Amino acid sequence: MSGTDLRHFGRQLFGLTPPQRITVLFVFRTIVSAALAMWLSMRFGLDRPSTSMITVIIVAQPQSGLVLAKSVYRALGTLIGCGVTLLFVSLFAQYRELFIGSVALWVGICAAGSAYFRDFKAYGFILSGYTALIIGFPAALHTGVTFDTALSRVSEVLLGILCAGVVADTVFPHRLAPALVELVRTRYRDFAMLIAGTLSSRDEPGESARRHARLAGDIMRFESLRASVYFEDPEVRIRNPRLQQLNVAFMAALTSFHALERLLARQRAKGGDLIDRIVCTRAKSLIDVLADPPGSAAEARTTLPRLESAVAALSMPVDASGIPPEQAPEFHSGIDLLRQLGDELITYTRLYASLAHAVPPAALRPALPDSSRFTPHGDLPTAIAAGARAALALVLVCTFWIATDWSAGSGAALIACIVCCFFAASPTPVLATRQMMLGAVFSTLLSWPYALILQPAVGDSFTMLIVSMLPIMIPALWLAAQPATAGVGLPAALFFASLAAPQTPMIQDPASLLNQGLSLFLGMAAGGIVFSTLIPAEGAVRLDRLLNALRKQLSEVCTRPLDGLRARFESHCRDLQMQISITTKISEAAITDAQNYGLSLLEIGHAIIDARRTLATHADLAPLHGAMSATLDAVVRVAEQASALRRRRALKRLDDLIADVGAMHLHAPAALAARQRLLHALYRLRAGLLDAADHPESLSAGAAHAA
Amino acid sequence: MPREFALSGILFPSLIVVFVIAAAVTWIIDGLMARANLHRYVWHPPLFRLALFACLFGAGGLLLY
Amino acid sequence: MNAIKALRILMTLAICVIAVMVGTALWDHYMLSPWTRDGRVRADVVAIAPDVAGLIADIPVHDNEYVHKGDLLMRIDDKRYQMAVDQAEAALKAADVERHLRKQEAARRAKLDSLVISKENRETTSSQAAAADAKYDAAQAALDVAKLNLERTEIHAPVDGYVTNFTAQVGDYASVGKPVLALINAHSYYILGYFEETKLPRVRAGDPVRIHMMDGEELTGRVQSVPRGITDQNDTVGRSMLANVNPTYNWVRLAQRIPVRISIDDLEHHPLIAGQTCTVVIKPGKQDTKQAAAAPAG
Repeated sequence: MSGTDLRHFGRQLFGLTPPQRITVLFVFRTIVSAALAMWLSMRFGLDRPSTSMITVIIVAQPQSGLVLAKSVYRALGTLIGCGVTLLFVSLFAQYRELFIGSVALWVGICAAGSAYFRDFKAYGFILSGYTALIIGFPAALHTGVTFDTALSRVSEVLLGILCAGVVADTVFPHRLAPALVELVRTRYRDFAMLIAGTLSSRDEPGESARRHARLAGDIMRFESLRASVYFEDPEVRIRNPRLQQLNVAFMAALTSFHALERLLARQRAKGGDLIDRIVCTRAKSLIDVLADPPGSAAEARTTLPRLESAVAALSMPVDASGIPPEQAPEFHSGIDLLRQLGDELITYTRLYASLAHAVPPAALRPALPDSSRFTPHGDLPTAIAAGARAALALVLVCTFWIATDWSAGSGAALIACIVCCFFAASPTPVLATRQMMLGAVFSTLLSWPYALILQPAVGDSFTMLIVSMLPIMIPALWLAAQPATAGVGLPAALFFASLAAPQTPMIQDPASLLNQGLSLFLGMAAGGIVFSTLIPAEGAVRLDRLLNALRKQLSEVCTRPLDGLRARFESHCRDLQMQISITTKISEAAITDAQNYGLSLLEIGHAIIDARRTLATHADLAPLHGAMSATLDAVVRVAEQASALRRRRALKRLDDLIADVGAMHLHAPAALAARQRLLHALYRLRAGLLDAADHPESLSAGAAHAA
Repeated sequence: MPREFALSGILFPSLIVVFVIAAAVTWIIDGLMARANLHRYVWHPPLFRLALFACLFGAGGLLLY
Repeated sequence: MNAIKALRILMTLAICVIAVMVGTALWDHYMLSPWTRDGRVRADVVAIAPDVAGLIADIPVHDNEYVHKGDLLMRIDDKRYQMAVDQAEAALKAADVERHLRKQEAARRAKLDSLVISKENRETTSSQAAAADAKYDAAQAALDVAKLNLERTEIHAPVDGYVTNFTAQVGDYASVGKPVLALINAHSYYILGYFEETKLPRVRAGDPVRIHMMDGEELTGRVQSVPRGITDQNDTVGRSMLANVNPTYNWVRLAQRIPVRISIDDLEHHPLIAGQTCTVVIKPGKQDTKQAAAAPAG
């Protein structure tokens, strides 16, 4: 009986739907690995076995790839945090204020790092801050045993990670690799259908916008999937560079397509059906190829030659006789964009086809540089705010701790740090803190009867200990497995494990239990206050920061060196747009405005990069450099603060530049072609700017909010 | 090989080194297998990987002592 | 296709079985084979204390010096004891004179008949002579004590060994019975290995042992003996001699440690320091036949 049959059999036996099955297995795996970690930890005589258990719960995820990725970064973070703590203890343990100050600074740096990176690397940052606290405070209070404490804590954490990783990877693993493969396939199919549909004017504009938004969201989804599957599957690991390039190629093609789409939409709005029709006729062979998209990487290989010949057909000389002269620039821009899109589609398809092979055959070698990859936008102001928040929360709690000499003060500081670090990059930190509090209430209330009545009753058998924890762990983990309630369930399981904290020999101490319970709430309250009031992280403040970052993208696109600029610009814009879309506590209209701003930015940026690249690669166009940079300066000024005057000035500069380009005397065919390209890019830039002027809320959206 | 090694005055069990080496070798073998497409001869790759690691680690540990 | 499927399952299962076997072997080896990282070098230490009090006059040895049995370690100022000897000698002389006097007196009286002196008088003198005799013996003993005291102002090494932790200075006052220096017996070095109780079944007296010092040096040795008792940590005596047992939960019970005494081969070539840490690995079984042969003889 093969694995599939077994699975089928299991489903029939228990009558479970696939999501339920995933949840059941998740609960089962987590409990098995928690028990294993705790048993080993006790067997090796480590002094706080509950740390291993807590570690298992922290990294617990239904998907094995996520567990592995988190585990790797958690292990790294723990080791770094441990080293830093030992340094701090050896330097500052004598001076309480200095020690707390330095720890607060470190936690601030870690929170800033996690807010800056926001992917799995963030997890490593969070953990190095958190480790500094779980080792640092007990160690500073008892300096004699610092090293032993540190070593023991690190061993417990690493043991927990190891158990969680091994169990997640081997016991009925729920893999993400199929989801990644599926995403690669559907994304290609959807994209091909979108292009074919839009070019052949079959799709409603609304429909195409929806599809477009979904595909843009897939860029981020693909990235996070790839990052976690990397740890789960060696097949994916060796394809990793190509998968990264695939995402870049997709992004490039999607942006070119977006530019083309807007150009066509503009023509349609003007009622100029003519261009539309000619572009579509010309794209006929391309549409034919795309209307029948390959279902897998192997099939993509057969699509590739057809696509290549279709794209080659696009570059045949254009018969522009039927075009009215005032529409000629748009027409040629459209053809240009179509050609560019075709080239990018070939790159994309070639990468896709190469995924069928572990080592790509020469014909399918990627055309992109090895280093091209999606780089999420790291926002320095956001990161600094997150760091300040964490440091502030820690200082607040520690001040309270010192002032009152409260025995559980270090626990409260730890929770405050966890709240600030874990939610540093969250779009809804206040909500997350509230959910966490709910989980803490659940676990504090239950841990009382558990620790004082049930645990003493089960005697000293390890099996019974685990069994006695099940009635609370199972519901908590069940909640943790559902995305909607994960914010409650995971903290509940976590705090329950830390409050019940089985250790050998076991000590029952109701007073310390109460103190610890209180410390949870105090720590979370401090975190919540900092997030919501002192340095707010949600709503309009967040949107402003994101818009600011978007505006900065435009000036970067005008000034940064061209090497790798396109992938960088596009991934940052896409990332920021995704972040804008999940911003809460703000009106729907404001988000739509910001989204539109992002989209027009993409188009303008695309045109600018095109123009800059053409200018840079053709020596004949060198005299234009001065005028070009003046124009770009004007555009940057519009982006910084949009006003009618600035926009007029930028348009004027642009028109001058276009006139200059048109007036150049060039003879070599290559130079003429380059001039055409440059002109088309500039027309597109002009159109984009005019478009933005028609919708004042878009380009000036950021300025209005900032004001 | 000694059972322990000293790192700046602290003795660590050599088993840690064996562990790290075994993990690295497993990772490399796994990568090579994926490259040569040998995984189709394996029924449950993670289990296989774990077993491979256990073999390497166990053999290394037994050789050490 | 089926063949490949079978091969897949077979290959995976095979490597799993091997992994389980190797893993179990390692676990057994690590957890059960008699070795411990918790070994300590021990040695017998003689605490040298002066037998007589006085100012320290001379210290011919230095800290950490090797001394042979009988070497002079320290001299206490002997003037007072010299004088005591003189005094005792004088007292002895006086007692001697008196003894002679009384003896002659008694002899004289003994010759006289009862008409000249009374019987009582005669008995008195004879007893006085006996008492003077005894007084002389006492004076003799006092002289011997004074001489012994004088002799004991010199402190000599009772064993071959190393002077250690020697802080006394010339001029210090040494009181009777208060140790002033420690002398480590150079032939007494041994190792205590703290073994988990689970590992003890594989430990037998006479088994060869490899000892890895923390500084990287390697020694060999033999298991000398296994103790027959350690303290029960949970068995303290409370008030009124009643047992006081702590209620503890041991979810996972851990093994206690038993100190096993190990003798070191070839001690002369390895300078050891009592208290050093070492890893102790016992190679069981290799000695079994020899041990069995030796056991009846011993």
